Amino acid sequence: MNDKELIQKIRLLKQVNPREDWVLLTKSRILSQEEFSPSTSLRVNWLDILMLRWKPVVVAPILTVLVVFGLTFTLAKSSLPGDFFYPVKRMSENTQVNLSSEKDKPKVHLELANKRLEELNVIAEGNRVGNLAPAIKEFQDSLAQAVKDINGIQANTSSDPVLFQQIVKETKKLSENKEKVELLGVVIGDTKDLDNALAKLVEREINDLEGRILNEDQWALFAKSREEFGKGNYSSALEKILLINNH
Amino acid sequence: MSNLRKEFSNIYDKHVSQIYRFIYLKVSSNDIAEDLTSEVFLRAFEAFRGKKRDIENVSAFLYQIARNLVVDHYRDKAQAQFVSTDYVILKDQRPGVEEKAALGSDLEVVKSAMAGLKDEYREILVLHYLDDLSVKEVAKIVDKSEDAVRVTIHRALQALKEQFSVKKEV
Repeated sequence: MNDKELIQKIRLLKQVNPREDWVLLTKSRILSQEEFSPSTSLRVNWLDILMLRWKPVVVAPILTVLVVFGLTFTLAKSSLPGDFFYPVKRMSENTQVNLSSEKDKPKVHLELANKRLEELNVIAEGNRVGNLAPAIKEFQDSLAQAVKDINGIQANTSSDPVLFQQIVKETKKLSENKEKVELLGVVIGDTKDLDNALAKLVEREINDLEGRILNEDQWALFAKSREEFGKGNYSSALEKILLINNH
Repeated sequence: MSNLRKEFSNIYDKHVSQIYRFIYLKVSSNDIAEDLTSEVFLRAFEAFRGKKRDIENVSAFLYQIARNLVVDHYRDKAQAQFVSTDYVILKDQRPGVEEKAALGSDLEVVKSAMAGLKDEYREILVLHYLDDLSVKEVAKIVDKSEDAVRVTIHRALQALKEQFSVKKEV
């Protein structure tokens, strides 16, 4: 048998063919893949986003950082002045202050001063002497900041009833908290600066009301406001002014 | 039908018989050849959609996938090359070449003779003489130089001739 005959023999193998029905079925099956592929690839991408397909070596550090942050903030939330995690809590509060508007800052700082008093109360009740000094300092710093903000309230915005309401609420709460702490034997110093800032605010409002025409009820409230102002009860005086504006 | 599907449909129509035959002559089983062939085109379609422009020679690309799948198939099944269960039975009981020829089964004679060749020889004969690929194309598929392919073709033909002679003597 020569090479030519041999090659002819090999070419007989061209008779080996796949079944026609299988060829058609396979073709349609393969080409139908295209229609499903976008959803398939989309699903894979979502899985990637959800990190389900990420290798542990990538996921582990991210999860560790998230867990550490979570634990730190949880511990910081209940921490007290002088505790290890307290700076984290203050950092979070400072962020809150920085994100608030100039108008809201007096309220935010008064709220923080109240928080410091609540912390002082916990420290005093728990007899945690070591935490006392830093807690008092924290309160004084917060109060000083609140005073600065109240002094910074501009004359043209001072009649804002919402702002007044918030100041009244927080200063009353502050008086109550201060009283509680002092009853536990903690000396936190006076709040003269806050009183002076409130006095200026009330005085300005009273001067403003004197030039306005008031009805009978308003006059009665105005008289009470001046009376409270005279007694040094600035929060109460401010409350009466609020009521005048509401009549 | 999208352009992509049309293009791939043409590729499929043009190559499916060749690839099936190429695989069948390696595995000697219709079922396995069908499974592996469909897997070849499935993988090719995925690649075609993903990096269509990178596939310079579709034919070579399909044969390359087919070769890899056959290797994987034998590795997975831990079977000796070309010795499927079907073939073992055929080999043990097959009639002699002359007897088959007498029965008019020329095709079976050739299949049987080809089955006695080394995979390297059979593959090159199939690609070159059956699928009509040039020496250059075969060289690319089997990853050899063109000279090495020419030498292998010559040796493969000699080996096939011997197969026919041996079977004739049986």
